[in-house]
Amino acid sequence: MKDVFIELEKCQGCKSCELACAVEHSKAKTLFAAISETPLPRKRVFVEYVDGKRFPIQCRHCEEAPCVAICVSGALSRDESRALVTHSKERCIGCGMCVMVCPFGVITREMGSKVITKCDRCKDRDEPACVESCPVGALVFTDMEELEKTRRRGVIKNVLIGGFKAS
Amino acid sequence: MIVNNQEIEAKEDSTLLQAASAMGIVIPTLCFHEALGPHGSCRVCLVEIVNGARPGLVASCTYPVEEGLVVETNNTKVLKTRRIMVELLLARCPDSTKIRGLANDLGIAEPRFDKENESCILCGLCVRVCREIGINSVGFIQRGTNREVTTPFQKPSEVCLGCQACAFLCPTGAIKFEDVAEERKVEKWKTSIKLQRCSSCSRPFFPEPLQLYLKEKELLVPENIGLCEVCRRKSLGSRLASILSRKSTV
Repeated sequence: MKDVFIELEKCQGCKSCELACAVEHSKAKTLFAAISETPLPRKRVFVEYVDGKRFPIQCRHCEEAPCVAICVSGALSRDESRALVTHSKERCIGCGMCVMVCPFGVITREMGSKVITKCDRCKDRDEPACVESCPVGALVFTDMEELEKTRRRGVIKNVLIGGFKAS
Repeated sequence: MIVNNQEIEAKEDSTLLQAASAMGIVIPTLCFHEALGPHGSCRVCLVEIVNGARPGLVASCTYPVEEGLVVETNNTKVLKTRRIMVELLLARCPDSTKIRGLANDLGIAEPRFDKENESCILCGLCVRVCREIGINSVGFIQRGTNREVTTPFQKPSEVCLGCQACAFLCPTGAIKFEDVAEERKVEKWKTSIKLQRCSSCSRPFFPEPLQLYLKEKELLVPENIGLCEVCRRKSLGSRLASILSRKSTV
């Protein structure tokens, strides 16, 4: 099952993913039209700066998700076939409890707005917008096996170039 | 079944309103919410059943679909009755923008009835959503023209969580929450709830009763208790950063 992985060492904090995410969730899906929309489209991925390090974070689509457990209306549910936590705008009652229980703080809602925003892993796309926009490859959309393979190759490459370097 | 001369298929347990909106046929409604089930109090979603066991006008949000039903959602009889329904609602709540908009769509400028200065249309969404969450802090009292939604004995609610779901669902904006310093006030329920400050950025964000409620459910991660969502991301970040710095020293 494919997932969005974060390569922590690579992120430069350029926030391209945040921008691409907001544009993808706008009505027009182009940057210039998106900035004049009301309400402004909102991002679902967040680049955080902590102790001189930067990293992007979005919904991890937990297997045992606290947000799904707390949702009384059934608006948040886990789609096992795609391994996603999905949110239905129509069923949402706006109690905001998912915002409070999310262990990563990646479910947000603006003051005065009913419905929450969270990563839907771009339903209209094969590859999420954040992954596609990342210029340094800090966000990777792949499955676990593929990721490990790339890691192994990276190590071998380093050894061949000369000397061992942990990657 | 047939809706507006168009043959449609519907799921067995659905109502006329759900079946029609699934097919893209718009029926206006004020008191329906998908998660809260049918209630049938605003009567705006009226449609006419032409054949079947009970021909006549019915509320589409409470009427279950049947095989071979012939329904019309926009004929003159439906529109005439719907107009009167909305006109009565408009006379009750002349200041509500949503009802004003609905009236405009139906071609009503001003109601012919005496205007009241109410804001609640007694649709029961707030009562139902509070029951759904399991709190039951508000309910209907009295009957007829005296009917209203309020807290038990019209006193400040002792059980309200301050989650604001009732305010978000209210179609007329009768329920308003206001965050003043460390208090979240609800004029309609005469209640004020203490907000807890985020232990890191000291932004007041978390109604205290809601935190107790979530603690009881055992869904809060211990290291996240008392942190707002922004600081929760940051705390995750500092944990990751410490892992990274350890790695680079290896």
